[in-house]
Amino acid sequence: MARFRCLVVEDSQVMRQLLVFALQRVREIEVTEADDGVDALRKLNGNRFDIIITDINMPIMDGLKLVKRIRSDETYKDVPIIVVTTEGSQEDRQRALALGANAYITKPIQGPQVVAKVRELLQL
Amino acid sequence: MTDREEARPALRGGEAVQRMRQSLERVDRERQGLVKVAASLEDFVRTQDARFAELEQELNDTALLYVASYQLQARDEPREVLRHLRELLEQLIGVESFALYLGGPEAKVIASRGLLAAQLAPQRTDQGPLAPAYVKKAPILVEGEPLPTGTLSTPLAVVPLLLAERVVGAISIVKLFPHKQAWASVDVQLLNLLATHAASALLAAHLVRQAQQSDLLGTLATLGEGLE
Repeated sequence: MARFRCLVVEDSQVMRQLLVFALQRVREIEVTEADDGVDALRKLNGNRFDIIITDINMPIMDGLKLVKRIRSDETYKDVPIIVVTTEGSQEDRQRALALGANAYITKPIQGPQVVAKVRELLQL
Repeated sequence: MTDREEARPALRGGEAVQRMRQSLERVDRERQGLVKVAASLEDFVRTQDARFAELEQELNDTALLYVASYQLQARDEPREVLRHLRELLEQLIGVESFALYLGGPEAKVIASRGLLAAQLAPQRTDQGPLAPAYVKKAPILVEGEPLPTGTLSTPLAVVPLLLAERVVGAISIVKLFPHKQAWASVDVQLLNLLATHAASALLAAHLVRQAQQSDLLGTLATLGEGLE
């Protein structure tokens, strides 16, 4: 049975499916998907998540705004957040970390790398 | 006390030392044996860890190929297929700029990324940078680490788009993201997958759109007739 709940926020279906595939390899984790920041906030409302993985570049509400909103919410202020960035976006990465993200992974993503980071943050 | 009586305790002491020495030798042999066992166990664990990492990577690569194929074939709009192609190239391989050509002998650009409109003139398929891939019917990649800087006339890779063994177009990959210094083995597999699936996905989506404009179920019914 899953002990941890993970929210994956990614507008690209390709990336989202890959992240879900990778995370489903960890038995202790149950994954919920969100298309963008607004969808993520909707899913966060009233639910418990133990870790959040979010893309930066998304329509409607991007990952940076989402990180900011999550950190301002008492319920989620300590939940680990991993941001997914492209290699060129050093500035975005720094901003995300400054806003309260705990770690980042770079595209193209590697499943084992994602799992290792999640395990590290959840202390699995 | 005779000399012989005086020597007896000394002999006993010698025996004890001898026995102790033998015991120490036995313990040392056992220790050496255990050290060997520990070393071989460490080797075993190291091999298993490496194999596990290898399997994880293989699984990741398989998932990647599955997702790429699934997402490409799951679209019923040519524009969506192109959007997914762009995503696959950018997000899974790390392509910063490319042009997708269709047709021949003068192929036209139908999608691109990171290139200026002025650069996207039609390209001949029987000569120039696209020609080798049209002839070979397989992706042609420039090797090296780091990879050299590509241009449209000297691309880093040309992927032919195959449809029923015919080359109907090509993807010219001009530039990868700066952190991408070389092709990964899964990149080659992905490019092979695009070579064999992209054109059929585009055509299928195009036909679905056409059929939807008339009568999709009627069109499918005629497909059944041909199979009987």
